[in-house]
Amino acid sequence: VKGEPALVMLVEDNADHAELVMRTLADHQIANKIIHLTDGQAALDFLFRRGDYSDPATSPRPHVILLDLRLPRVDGLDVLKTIKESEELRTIPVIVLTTSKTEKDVARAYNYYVNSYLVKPMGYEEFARLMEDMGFYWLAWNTQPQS
Amino acid sequence: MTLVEATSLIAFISYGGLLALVFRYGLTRSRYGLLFSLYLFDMLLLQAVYLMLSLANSQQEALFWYTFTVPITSAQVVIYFFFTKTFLGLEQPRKLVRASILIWLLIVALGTFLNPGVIFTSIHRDQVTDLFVPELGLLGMVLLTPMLWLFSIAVRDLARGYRGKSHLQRVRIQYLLLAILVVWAGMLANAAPSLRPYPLDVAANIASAFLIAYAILRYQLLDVNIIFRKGLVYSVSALIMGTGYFIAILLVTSLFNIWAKSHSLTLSLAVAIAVVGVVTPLRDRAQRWIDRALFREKYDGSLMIQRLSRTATSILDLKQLASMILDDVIGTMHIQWAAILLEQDGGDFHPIVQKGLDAPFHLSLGQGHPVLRWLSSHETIMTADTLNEMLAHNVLSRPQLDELKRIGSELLIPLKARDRLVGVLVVGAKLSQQMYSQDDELVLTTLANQVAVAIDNARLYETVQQELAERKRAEAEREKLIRELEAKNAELEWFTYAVSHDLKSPLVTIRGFLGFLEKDAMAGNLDQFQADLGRITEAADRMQRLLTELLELSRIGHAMSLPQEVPFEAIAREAVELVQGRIQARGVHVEIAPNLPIVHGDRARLVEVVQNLIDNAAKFMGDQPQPCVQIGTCRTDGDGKPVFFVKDNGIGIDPQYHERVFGLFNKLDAHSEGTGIGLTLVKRIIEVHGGRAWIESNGTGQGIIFYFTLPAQAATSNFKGDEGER
Repeated sequence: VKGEPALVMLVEDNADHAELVMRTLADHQIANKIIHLTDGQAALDFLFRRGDYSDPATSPRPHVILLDLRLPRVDGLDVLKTIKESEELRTIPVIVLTTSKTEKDVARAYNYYVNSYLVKPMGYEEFARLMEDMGFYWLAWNTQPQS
Repeated sequence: MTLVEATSLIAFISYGGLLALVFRYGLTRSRYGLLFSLYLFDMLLLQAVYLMLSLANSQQEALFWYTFTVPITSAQVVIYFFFTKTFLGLEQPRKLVRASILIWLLIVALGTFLNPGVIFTSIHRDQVTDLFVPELGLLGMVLLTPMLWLFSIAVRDLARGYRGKSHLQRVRIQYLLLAILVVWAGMLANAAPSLRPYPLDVAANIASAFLIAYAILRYQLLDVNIIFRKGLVYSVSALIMGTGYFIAILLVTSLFNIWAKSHSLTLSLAVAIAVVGVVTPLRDRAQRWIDRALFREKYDGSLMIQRLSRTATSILDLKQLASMILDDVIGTMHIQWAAILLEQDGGDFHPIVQKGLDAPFHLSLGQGHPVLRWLSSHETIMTADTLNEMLAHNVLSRPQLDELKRIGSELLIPLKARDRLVGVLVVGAKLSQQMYSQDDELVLTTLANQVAVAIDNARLYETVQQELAERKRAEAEREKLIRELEAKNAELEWFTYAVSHDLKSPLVTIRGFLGFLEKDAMAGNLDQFQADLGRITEAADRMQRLLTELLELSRIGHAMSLPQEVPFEAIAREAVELVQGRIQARGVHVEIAPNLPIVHGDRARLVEVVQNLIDNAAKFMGDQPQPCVQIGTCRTDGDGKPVFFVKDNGIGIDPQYHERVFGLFNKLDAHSEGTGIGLTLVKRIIEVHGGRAWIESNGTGQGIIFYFTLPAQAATSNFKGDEGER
């Protein structure tokens, strides 16, 4: 792992789930910095540096985005679509992390060029394992263009 | 040959001729026609006997022939009696028929076996007439009495009939009365000695027979008058033409004679041909002129048929078509009134248009009514007399027949298309009170045939139109159902999705945090253990709440109480009561407008709606220093349903999220309490009541107005709650 801290952006409305993600990632010392946003609109504002997040210093580009699909205000899929339509943002890997694996959602997510689709597993061990693997894969093994 | 012999011979030939005429015109098909032909046959026999009598040479011979006159003359009275009865359409009790025949047979027996000496006492040669004349005995006088009695009844019936009937019937009866008068005059004349040599009674009998025949022919609408008139007029014109033609030839040949002093047959021929060439078109024109001048009605009639046949098929509205035809028929043929009965859906015939009657008549001829049966099976027009005959024999269908008679129906013309009776054209008497002539009938029949086709056309068109409209309506209905189904399907899909997602969510939490618990225990971190346990408990509670609310949502529309009329104010007050705790905690002031309308619906559910809305408003008050909720009504929507509102001055909602707030589990604020079912529930309850729910907000910080419509009264309600299973 490089010296520069990898920034993970977590978009998750469920506080419990957010904690699950953050604690399991922390346990494996994968991401040293996580930004947690609770709805789709906030996520877009952050990424496009609008409103509360207009200062680029406080809203850096994340290395990877963990995105829930059922989100208040702006739906997760719409967030994904907006990111992938933006020339500026489309290179950032977006990983959907959600409870449902409805075929329609999977298909739509890939249609919007999602980089990975993960379903929240039931059970702590599985959840921790997934977070570890995911973290290692996207933050350590995977190479992405310099932004 | 003596005068008497000659008269007898003429009478014989006349009766024979009349009889042939009666058969020729098929009059024997009707009952009165049959009786009349019987009468003629009887008279024919009588004349044969009279002829034999006039030729008799001895007393024995005369007496032999006189014996025949007894059954024949008595039969004459009996037949005449029944003829008048039938003619007037009167009932003939079977007893009366039997008694008359019995009396007649008795007379025949007495007359045949007890003669001579009993009916005719003696016979002598009359000096004046040079004929054998019998003296009537006592028994003859006695036997004469029932005959006179029958005869007087016939006259009485005629007199009565004359009083009560229409002008038309009176004209017919006049002929019969005139016939009787002539017979009596003949008999009285015969009694006078000075007139004895002339056989006036025989002549009177002939005249009477001719009168009756004439009446019958007119009665059967064979208009002798028209034929005669037309023939005469045509012959006058032909005579004038012929004379002119003759004079022309004579003039030319004479001139030629004077000039050339010789005869020339070729010239006469040439002149004749030339005159024919000039005269023929003239004659044609003259006849057309006569037609138009003297037979205006017929002329107009054929014009009318031409006119109607041109326009009738272009009009496809049945009522308009029928109305137009009746106007034209009444105007052209000068008829008092006319009506068209048409077959309706049930197969019954009803008048669809009637013109010229003061008060409209109501009539319904059921399938199989004798009138319809008759018209279906006959190719001809039904006359008032057939109607009378039917009246005498039908009991069940009497009311309709009586009604037809009451309004004075003269002719019933069948409207047949594709060999099926589709309607009936009924016409009243002519304005002139004249009989319908054969020409009139022809015009009406021709017209009826064309009308039938036009009506059939219009009806087919109507059926096609109806089918088309029906199909269109069904298609629209289907489209609507498909759209509704699609919407329901989408809703259901969303529901399944939301349920699978949001129910799984707490499970992920519980299982995940169980792992943390284990680690906390091993690390001996009690505080973290407590916190994580709290998370698990919360997630479990949340799951329970979700399940309860989902169950409730799924029950809307199924498990509802009977709808009732509730003042909306009562609903609002009850709801405020139920959320009292929360609104007091937030310091929310609730205002309920006075005089809110009465709504029709499930009280408990409607309270739930308002409760949820107030709750929602209180939840999103933000930092509003004077939180306030207003409940009221502002207007009615397009269907006349009142529009209610619940308005707050809280944080408001950005217009782009207005639709999302009603979605299941959709929350705008991830940190807010609640499951996100509340507004879905509100929308669903309103929709089940047949209403609509929507929100308006000028955006963040501007507050929200929730609008919804509800059925105001039972009459305007399409509340579906009581249709579902319970």
